[in-house]
Amino acid sequence: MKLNRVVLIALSLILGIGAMTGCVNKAKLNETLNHVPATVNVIAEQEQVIDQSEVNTILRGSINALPFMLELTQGLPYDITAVGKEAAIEAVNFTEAQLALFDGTLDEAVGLSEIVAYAGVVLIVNPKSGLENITVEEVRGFFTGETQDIQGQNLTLVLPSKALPSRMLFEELFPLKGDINGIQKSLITDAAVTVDTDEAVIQEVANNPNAIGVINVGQINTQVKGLKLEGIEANQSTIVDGTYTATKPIVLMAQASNKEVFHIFIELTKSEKGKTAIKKIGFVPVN
Amino acid sequence: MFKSKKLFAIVLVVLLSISNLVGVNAAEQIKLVIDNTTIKSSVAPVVVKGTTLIPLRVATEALGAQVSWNQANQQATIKTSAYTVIFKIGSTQYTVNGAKKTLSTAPQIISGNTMVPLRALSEAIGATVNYNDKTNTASINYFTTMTGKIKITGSTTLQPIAQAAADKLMLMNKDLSVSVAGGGSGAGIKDTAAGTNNLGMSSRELTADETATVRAITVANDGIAVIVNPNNSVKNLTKDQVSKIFLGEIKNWKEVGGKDAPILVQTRETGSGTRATLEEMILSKKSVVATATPFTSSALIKQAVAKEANAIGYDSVGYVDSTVKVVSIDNVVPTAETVKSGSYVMGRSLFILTKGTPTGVSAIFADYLRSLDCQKNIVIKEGYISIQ
Repeated sequence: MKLNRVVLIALSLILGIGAMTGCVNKAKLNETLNHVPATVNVIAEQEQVIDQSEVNTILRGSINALPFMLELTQGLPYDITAVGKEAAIEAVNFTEAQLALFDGTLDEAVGLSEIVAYAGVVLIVNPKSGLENITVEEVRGFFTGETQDIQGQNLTLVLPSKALPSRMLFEELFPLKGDINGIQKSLITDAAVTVDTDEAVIQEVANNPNAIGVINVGQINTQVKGLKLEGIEANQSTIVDGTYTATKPIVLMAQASNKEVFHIFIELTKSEKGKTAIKKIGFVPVN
Repeated sequence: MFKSKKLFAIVLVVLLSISNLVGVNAAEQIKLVIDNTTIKSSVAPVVVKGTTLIPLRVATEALGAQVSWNQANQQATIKTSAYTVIFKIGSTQYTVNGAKKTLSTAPQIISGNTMVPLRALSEAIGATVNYNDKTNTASINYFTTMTGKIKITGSTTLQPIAQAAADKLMLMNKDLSVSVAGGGSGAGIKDTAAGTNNLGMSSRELTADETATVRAITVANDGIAVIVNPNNSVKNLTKDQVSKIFLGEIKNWKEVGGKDAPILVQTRETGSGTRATLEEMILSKKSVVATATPFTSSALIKQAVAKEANAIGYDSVGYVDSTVKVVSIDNVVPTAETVKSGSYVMGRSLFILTKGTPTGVSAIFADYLRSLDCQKNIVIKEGYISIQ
């Protein structure tokens, strides 16, 4: 395992240096990594002056992967669009994009693929609440308004607004979406309180002992208590091994001919900047 | 909990199949042909006590009917544009538009598939049915029984779908004549309410007033793309920027990361459903800036944006091609997945309109638009998004 990692780092270093000499965007990417030799940076800057219209790395992704793409590649020359998982995979297969990033499994990818992070949601309550665990069936019943209480408690539902990725992921994972003429509509009861940010969900729940909320799994802090789902606590190991079920791996995919940009992106996700970005959007890094 | 349910289901299936074996003639392989096309399905029709039962899902997909299943009552509701047929598993009673009728053999579940009587279903919705003993072939004719004239008017967004469907059905039915004209959703709704067409087309939802006389049937889904000239360097706009551009508050491309040039706003005419959807979903119900040039069809606005270097417009994804460039909104572009999941900000449904309950050949035309054949071979191929 350790040996693999050393090989991978060595490989990406070689690839990274190789990339510098030919291409500004790759060079610029590597500036963000911690181990770029100073001399190479100079070359990169010189090239940047010569050619500002350097082609970007084209990255296409699913809606759930969009916050990840945006945060991670901030300030870097990536061309990013959310087109949906199928269309992103197709774009790589038809060489319209170099990289695809989507929520799903490695089985769905063709060519090079690797899990780069995990997206997921967790239900939260006030630390004073007696509630510790919740089942999928309880969540479905309560959030659709079919049942009026959870374990005898009548709670206020607090949800991120419909446009937020955490809300979309929550509706998809449990699932709380119905299909009407091919368009998926939310099944969540109108009785739920909707707030504009994930942070506001935490604040509402922190201030109300009778509230239950939904946030990104990586956003949990000491102001609130994360509920176990079907008896499983959401933590790094249960998310990575899949025993905590309200989560989805984020998979990076590329054709073998694009292994350089593929490995540069992988390294980016593993760098300090990458890990900070992943945590900032409430995702969970691979380790 | 899950395990016991699964076990129960297995026991149920085994029990049902044993009880069915008594009446089913297992030796006969029955072929199902709908409108001269042999239906390939993992579930074959069966004959039970002299009645042919066909898989409900297969039949309704081919006939453009909607099916809903009530688990508690074990009831299947089959809706075409003109008829509602309700079958109950194990019961010989069924209803057609509320009228009670009796079957000789009850619908049943065989290997997890709901099987319904071929003749009763076909006749209930106005299809003709034949059974050939020699070839063991059950044939339903529905979209091959159309005669007469149909006049369709309205949304230019929906026009290519309706036209392609009309062309195909006229080839299949020599005594059928269908005329499809544009005019916009507003005109389509008005014509339908006034009874001056047989079917209307709309790319926007009906208002409460309109639903008093006009009925809307969803026949496709669509995304409205924001389009610019292919030479424009702007690739993405925020929802707020799109709003401000079409309201005339952002006037120069440099304000959104493009070159220093005035933004030329192109729009659709006032009655357009596409314009109404843009105003509803992006402009907070305000009107597109008055200085914008209006175009009366989906084709014309696209041509204008293709020609003018500094233009911006909006159009159905069904019309978008390489002559224009789609700009993502908050980094999302309209595709089947982003529209179906509700993630793209300007996703919408497209409707065929009828005055009250449609009858005769117009009803069959509306059903064809919802059929698997039309969804796969017309809706998706024309660049729109299917309802299935």
